[in-house]
Amino acid sequence: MSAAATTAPVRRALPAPRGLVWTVLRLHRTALWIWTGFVVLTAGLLLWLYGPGAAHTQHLLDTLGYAGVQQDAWAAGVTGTFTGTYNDLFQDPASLLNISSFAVALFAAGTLTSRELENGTARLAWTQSVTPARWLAAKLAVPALLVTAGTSLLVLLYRMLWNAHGNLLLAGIGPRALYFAIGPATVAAPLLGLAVGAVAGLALRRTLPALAVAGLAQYAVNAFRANSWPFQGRYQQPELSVRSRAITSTGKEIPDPGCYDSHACLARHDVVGFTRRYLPSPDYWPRQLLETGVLLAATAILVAVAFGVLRKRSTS
Amino acid sequence: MSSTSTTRSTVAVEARGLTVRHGRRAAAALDDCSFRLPAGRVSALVGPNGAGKSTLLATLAGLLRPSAGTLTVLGAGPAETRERIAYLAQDKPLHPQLTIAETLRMGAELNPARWDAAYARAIIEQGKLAPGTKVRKLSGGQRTRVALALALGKRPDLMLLDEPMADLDPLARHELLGTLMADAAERGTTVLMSSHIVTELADACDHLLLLGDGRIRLGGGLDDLLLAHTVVTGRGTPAELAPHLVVESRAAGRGLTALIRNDGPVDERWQAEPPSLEELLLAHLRSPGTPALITPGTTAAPAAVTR
Amino acid sequence: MVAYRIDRRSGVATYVQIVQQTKQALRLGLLEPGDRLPTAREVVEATAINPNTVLKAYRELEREGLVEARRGLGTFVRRTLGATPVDSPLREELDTWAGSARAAGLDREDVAALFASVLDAHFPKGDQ
Repeated sequence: MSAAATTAPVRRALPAPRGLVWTVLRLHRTALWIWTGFVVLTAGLLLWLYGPGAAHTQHLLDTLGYAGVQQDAWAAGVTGTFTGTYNDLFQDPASLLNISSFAVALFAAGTLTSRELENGTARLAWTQSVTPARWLAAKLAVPALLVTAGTSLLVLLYRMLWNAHGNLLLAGIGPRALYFAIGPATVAAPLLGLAVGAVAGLALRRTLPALAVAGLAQYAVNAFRANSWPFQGRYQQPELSVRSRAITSTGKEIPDPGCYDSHACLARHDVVGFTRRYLPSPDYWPRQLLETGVLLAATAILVAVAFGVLRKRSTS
Repeated sequence: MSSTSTTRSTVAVEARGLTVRHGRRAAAALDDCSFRLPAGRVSALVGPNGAGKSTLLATLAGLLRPSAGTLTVLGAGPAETRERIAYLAQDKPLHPQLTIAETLRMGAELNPARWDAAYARAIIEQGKLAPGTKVRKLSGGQRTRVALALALGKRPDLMLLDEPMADLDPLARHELLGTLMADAAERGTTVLMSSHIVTELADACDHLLLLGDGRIRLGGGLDDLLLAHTVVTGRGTPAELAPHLVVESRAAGRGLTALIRNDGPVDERWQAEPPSLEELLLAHLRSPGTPALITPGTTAAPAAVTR
Repeated sequence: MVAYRIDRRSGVATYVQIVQQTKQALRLGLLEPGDRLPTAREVVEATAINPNTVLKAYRELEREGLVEARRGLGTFVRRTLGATPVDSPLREELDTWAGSARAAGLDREDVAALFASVLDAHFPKGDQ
């Protein structure tokens, strides 16, 4: 219907949104701005970590090897808790992405659905020339598209950052979890949040209970993902192999002599540089794809449930 | 009187045995309602609070699913004729974060086939409202005007209004009712509007549906319904008023005053007067046992004529 | 253009009020042959009454031959009502008569009742 209304004059710009798409975008403009702000700021942080932020730590790695990485990561205790070290900041976008899936669930439960049902504006839409089913389809599709676009961008930047500077992370749970946490499943998670929120909002029809239930449900999803095979568990995942070498003046790679910050020791071993990288795990793609599949399947089921609940509540 | 209908069907709404429950176990909010609303009429839907007025309007708007019975609105199911129906809910829900202009834009976007932007804008301008004003800043009357502009901009064939005039000052009432009547005059729009203040609708409506306890108690053209009843005063007992149906009788001095449903001419010894609309409605509301009266034009399907 | 005033408390049917006010306008010369009556839309927008009420009043006026509906154009005044100019001989006669009634000691209500009974005798009711 909206496609038929496209205007005749030739314009190179993207076609302006029409109909329900325009309505959804306009009604949730604040949420759109918040989301855009989140994506821009997080992308900015990732780019900083990729570029200027990495310089100091990279220099330490080049001169001191893994000892330099450790020195940098432990610097937090020295410089104060408010200025995170590179190692800490590297983890922050992952936390933000995790929080964003919560935020999406709460948005879907509150502003998107239950608030409209509570104050009657949903009925306002349904008594225009729009069926409740189309209304819900637009309400889910538009945010889903924007959320997917945003998280996809962030995940791509994150993987780029990992490939370039993952070697600057303190070994242990951190890089391991991060490696397995960033991928297609990260994009699927907020989509599940959207579906969880929509079902809660449509079924409960009152803002506060819907927010509470959606929050709890999304927490449960995250908890389950963190601890259950084959998901991005924090503890069961395989060790991530790291390849750490020192480079002598002849260009030969030798095992790290373990000199820490003793320049005399380094000179004795004729070490002029270091190389360090995490090796890709064969487990990564099977886990990511399996988890993405499970999340998307759950999303699909919940979307179907959402339409079913709506059908019961309205004549569509 | 209903000659305003043009080529369109002469029936706007037809309900047979319409029953609506809010929840499976709940008592029926509408109980076995059968009636027909002729097209081109401006009909008042009256009844006490809780009689089922809002339920009936929401069902006609396609927002509630009947649990039994059949319902035809503008020749099809209400959900299929969504485009041609406008519905103004009691609390006039609008998006507070939109401006008036954006609210109308939404009307245009959501009714691409029917939207009349100039008309909707004219209704806003009539109220001297600035299009850039946010909806959250509007007074009750201004909100109603915007909601009405949104409803009328769709150029509906059937307007359903739930207590449209509640919480409006007299001037706003008059203006909005005037706007609504102008639309009815121009396009022959069928209007069904509920109110529990009968008098405010008496001049605007030419048709009446009286609901009580989820059932239709009276239905028909206003004039027909008034003509079918008489207020009689005189000495005697209610029994002496047979064969007329006594809707309500009260002692008046040594005799009585009664509102009767005529069955032939009234005996000379009674002083007879036509009832006012208010008298007619109050008498029926106070006597829930009175059989319903639905005039032939308002009766659904070929059914027995009650008159 | 005449503006109708609807008095909801008068007890007079709304359409009758429109008929009466139109006639009054014709008598007073506010409307003359060829003038257009307001459209039903204009009337209901200003008075918030039912459109069919206006149409009913206009049909009544048409039946009495006072106005005619021209398709698509509106309703137009056909003829005026026996308007009596202020200085007509009839008025002078009535003026003289009222003077004699006063001299005979009749008060205002007596005169009104007398006038009404003569009026009824010469102009039987049901004309409206």
